Parts: sequence; C-alpha cells; structure tokens
Amino acid sequence: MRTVQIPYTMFSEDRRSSQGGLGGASEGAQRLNELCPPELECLLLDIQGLRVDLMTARGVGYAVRGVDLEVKPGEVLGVVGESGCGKSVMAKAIVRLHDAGRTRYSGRILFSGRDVFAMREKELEAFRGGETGMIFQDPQSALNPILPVGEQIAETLRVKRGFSWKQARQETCELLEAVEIFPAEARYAQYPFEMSGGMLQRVMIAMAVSCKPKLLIADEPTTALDVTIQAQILDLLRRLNRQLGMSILLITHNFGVVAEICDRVAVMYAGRVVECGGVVDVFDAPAHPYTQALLNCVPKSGGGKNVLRSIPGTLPDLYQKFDQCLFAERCPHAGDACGAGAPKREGRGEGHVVYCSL
Amino acid sequence: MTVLLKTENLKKYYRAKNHKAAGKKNGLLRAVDGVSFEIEKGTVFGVVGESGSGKSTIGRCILNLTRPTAGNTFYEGVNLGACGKKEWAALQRKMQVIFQNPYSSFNPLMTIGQSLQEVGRVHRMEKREIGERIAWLLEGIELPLDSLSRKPQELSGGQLQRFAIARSLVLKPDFILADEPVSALDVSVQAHVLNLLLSFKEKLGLTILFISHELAVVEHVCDTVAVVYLGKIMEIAPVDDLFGRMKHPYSRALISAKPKEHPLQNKERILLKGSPQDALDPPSGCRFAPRCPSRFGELCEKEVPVLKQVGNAHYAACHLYS
Repeated sequence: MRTVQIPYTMFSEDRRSSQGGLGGASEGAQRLNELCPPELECLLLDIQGLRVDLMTARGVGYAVRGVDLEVKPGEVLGVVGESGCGKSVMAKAIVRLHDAGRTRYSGRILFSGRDVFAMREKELEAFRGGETGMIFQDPQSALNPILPVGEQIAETLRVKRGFSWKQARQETCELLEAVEIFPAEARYAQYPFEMSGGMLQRVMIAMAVSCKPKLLIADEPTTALDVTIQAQILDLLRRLNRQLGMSILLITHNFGVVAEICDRVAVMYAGRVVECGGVVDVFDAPAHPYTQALLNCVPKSGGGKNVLRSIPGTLPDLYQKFDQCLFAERCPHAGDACGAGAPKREGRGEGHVVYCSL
Repeated sequence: MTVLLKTENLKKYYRAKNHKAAGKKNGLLRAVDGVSFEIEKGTVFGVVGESGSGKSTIGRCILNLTRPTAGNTFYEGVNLGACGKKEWAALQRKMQVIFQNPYSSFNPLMTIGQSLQEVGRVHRMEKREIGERIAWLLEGIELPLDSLSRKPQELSGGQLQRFAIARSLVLKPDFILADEPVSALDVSVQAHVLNLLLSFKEKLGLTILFISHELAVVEHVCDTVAVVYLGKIMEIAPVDDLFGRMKHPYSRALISAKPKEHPLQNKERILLKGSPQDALDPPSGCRFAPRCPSRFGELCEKEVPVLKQVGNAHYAACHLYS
C-alpha cells in the first residue's frame, strides 16, 4: 500500500476560483479521481484494529473493540451509530484526545503513513489542529465565553502558523467570510453569547479549517441545530470539502445527514464497525441485520401510519469483553454460527464490507 | 367530528429584564403572539417549528403551566382561564403531559412505582384502582413489574420515557400534551416509544397535542399540523396536504430543509438566509418577511397576514393568498 501526498492549494485562491455554489456529484467524483487515481491505493487515514479501553471507576470500559476504517483523500466518510456505540470515542482517539493516564489504546492509526500512536508530544501538537481539524456537537461549550470569537480564531493562526496579530486578524476576517459570517469585521469582535448556535458552529468550522487541515473530524456537528440551520451547515461543509479537497470524517446518528453529504458510510454497533460501503450501496442493499433494522426505524415520508419497526433489547455491557457477534442477541436472523468467534469479514461488491457470519 | 380543545388568540409576552441594554423597542418578548386553533377529538395535532418559535410555550399556556398574557383556551367548551378551583382539578385529570427529558421530569429520590402512584394519590384514586391501572399500563409499555422498584437514574432514557407515558395515563385522561417526547432518544428507541404512544392512542381514544421539531416524526404521527414561526401560526393543514401541497413559503423552506431519505433522492432545497429574527424585536409585518424568498413588497413588511382558508381544512397566513 502506498500513501500519496495530496496536492494542496491555498484556501483563499481556491475560494475565489470556485465561487458559485456546489458542483455536481460527478464533479466531485472526477476530482477524487484526479487526486487519487483508482489504480493507486492511497489513504489519508488508515485505522487498523483500533481498540480503546477506558479506565473508569466502574472498571475497564471497552468503548472501541477493534475498528478497521479508512478515509481516502477528498472523501466524506460518515460514521453512524446510536449513542454509546463508541463513535465519538473513536473520533477522539484519532487525534489522541483522551486522557493518556486513563486510556489504553491498541491497534494502529496511520495518517498519511505516519503512526499517530508513535508521535511525540511536539509532533502531535502540530498534527492536532494543523493537519486535522475538529468540530464538536456543542459549539457553545467549545469556545471560550470571555474572548471575542475573532480573537479565538486569530490565536489559533498565531500559534499554529506564526502570524502576527495584524495578519491573523486579516486572515480571520477572510475565514469568517468564507463560512458566510457577514459583516466579518463587526463579527470579529463579538462574544460567543452574542451569536446563535448556527453562527457559532460556523465559527468553529472557520477555526477548524484555519490551518488548512487535510482531515476534518466533525462530531455530530448539526445535532444541536434546527433543520433549516442544519441544511446551511451541511451545505457549507460540502462546499469546503469540494473546494479544499479536505476529507471529512462525519460522526452522526442521523441517516438523513449521511444521505445528504457522505460518499461512504460506516455503521458502528457496540464499538465495532458492522458494515461499511458507498452510501448508495448501504442505503439500497444494507447487508448487516443491524443496518437493516436501523434503517427500518426511521419514519419515511409517505409511509403512512404504519407501525415503525423498533429493535428489541439493549446494548451489550460496555464493561465486558466479547469475541462473538455483539448484535446476535437482538438479531432476528441469529444462528449457531453467531455465538462462536468473531463475525467474518465479507466483501459485498466494490468497497462494501460487512461483518456478519451469516 | 367534535372539537375537544380550542384556543382563541392565545398570547404570551415576557418582559425582558435588560431591554435598554438590548436596545429593543419596548422590551416585550412575544413568545406566542395570537395563536388560534382547534383540535378534534381522537386526532393527533402537531405543532412544528424551530427552536424559539414558541411551540413549547403554546403547550404550556394551554395547560396553564404558564399563565397566558391574553386569549382563551376551551376544553369541551369550558374556558380554562376562568374556571374555579374544583373545576380545574377535575379538568387536570383529563389533561396530562409528557415532557422531553424524562430524567428531569421524574423525582430522582422516588422509585418509579412511587412516582406513578403519587399521581393517583394526589387525585384521590382508590389504592386498589391505582394498582390495577399501573399493572395494566406496565403490560402496555412492555416493562417488567420489578422495574417499578428502580430509581430513575437506573433506567435508560427510552425505558424512562415509556414510564413517563404510563404516568401520564394513570388518571385515564382524554388529552395528552406531548412536548418533544422522542427528541432525546435514539432512532431505534424512538420508534418503540412512538409505537407505544400511538397504540395507546388507538386503545384509549386519546387526543394528542404533539410538539416536535422533527419533521419526519411529525409526518409519521400527526393528523393535522400547525407550523409556527416566531410565535405565530404560518399554516395549518392536514398532514398529507402540508407535506405534499404546502402553501406558505416558510413551510416550503422548512420541509425542503428536511434531510434526504436516500442519497440519490433529488430534492429542491430552499436555503434560507440567516437565522430567525429576535422575538424581542419582531418584524412589523409578516414575521417571515425578512427571510422570505417570495416576499413581494411593502404589504409583506407593513401588514400582518391572517390565516386564510386555502383548501379543505387548510389555512395559511400569507399575503400571497389574500
């Protein structure tokens, strides 16, 4: 497997050249092919057998139980799952954000070929916020309440890119305009409490992309927002993805969000990926019983008043170690093979894998 | 069909504490500003809107959990604002509520069983009757009898919300206010809770006022839907009409913002500029005018549109239809 350095254009230049809205899906695919020719296996992020054990007062919590996942340059990968399935823990592990004293990592995370777990503190600092950016569900609590938002972005630029205050201010205003906060000069001096949730999430996005990261990790970026604002933010993320060639790892529990902007999707259950594939494949032909059940839970337009199908049972115990399929207890198709050993990895067409023994 | 509940020109204004600093006109926050609708018996009436649109306040005003500034609510013809204490107590038995967050609506010091019995005790039900009722409800919500001895924090959100449904039904009410009952739940649990709520509705002939911001849920559950924006009703329509043939530009934008159900679905997307105006300083004409893509001039900015009939049981408040 070879890792290829992705060409990187300047943010502002790129913005000017491609103003005028979203390109079509084919344009995106075309660009993806240019960046990453299909004959070359190139990965931006390669997670291999990642396990995250959290030491808690109640014992060891097995939050992530062996995840294999890859992100290609320029793509939007969605990670869906219900609360407690380990999707946020996994996202934080990518940038080693967990408290080192209380977390045990195993497996490997390769970012552009470099092992994240082998990075020194200095290297890690440049990696966090430099090559990767991260946005969280609740922008209100992610920003400093007693500093103007502009200054917080400018501070990032000063620390990470060595700008002077003057340069940083100018660049910040450009960034604010890029995420459609107008008038940027006036907004620069505003405090977080003076802005709405949607605005603050835009500020977070501006901050996250300020160092032109290759990967943006977005942890439930629209969960706290209204639908009309959610549509605006997703639109913005999609545009940044297209214009900057920035990959996005989008964590969500909402299949609608996945359908809206993702190229590929991984479904997680109890700390493992159960299925991963192109969005259209997964929506059209979900192979894992859990994916099928989850898609059936979502109320559909024009579905009338049919009874929704819910999933009986509860999540398996976080504090217990398991080898066998974790969904077997709740699975309508479970058989003898499911209780014995880890579920088999099986390919279903191009890039579509499912972890199920059936 | 008979009308069970009716509101007339319901208003709730709050006085803003620091209005001078905010520099707003008269410091009145118009959370609900003249809302009128009727709910027919045995139907689910939905209220959708974005956060801050006043949808929860409408619900609270109806149950007198907050006193409305003006306007009346009639329940089976009885004016709720003007009835005596005794009458009100009797009406409370018929009108119950389910809130969004079950962890904050159950007393953490009481077991679930105690919380459920408490409702019957306060309303002077016989002990034996309370016990029978709870046993019957437990069967309905598909939870074992021994879970009654648990404390709220020992249960999952979905289980506790099922108990919240059971608690709201202890008194055999006719009317349930469900304020975002599934917004805090995961989809698989949400499906279960919605199924339970609807099956109780069928079994007991309940009338439900369903407040939610989730369009897919509203479309699945409701018979009639009102769309609110900044304290005013923009459109009221039977659910199929609203999602298929919406008339108001705001409804159109709101529904177009609903995420796709399938990645290949081709959808017209109306992206609204900005976020809703401040309820402290609402636009003088149509509330939606500053963001409206179909605004056509002065009339929209000057005059407040009233609800006009635009179809069968379909009303819209927009100058396009006057």
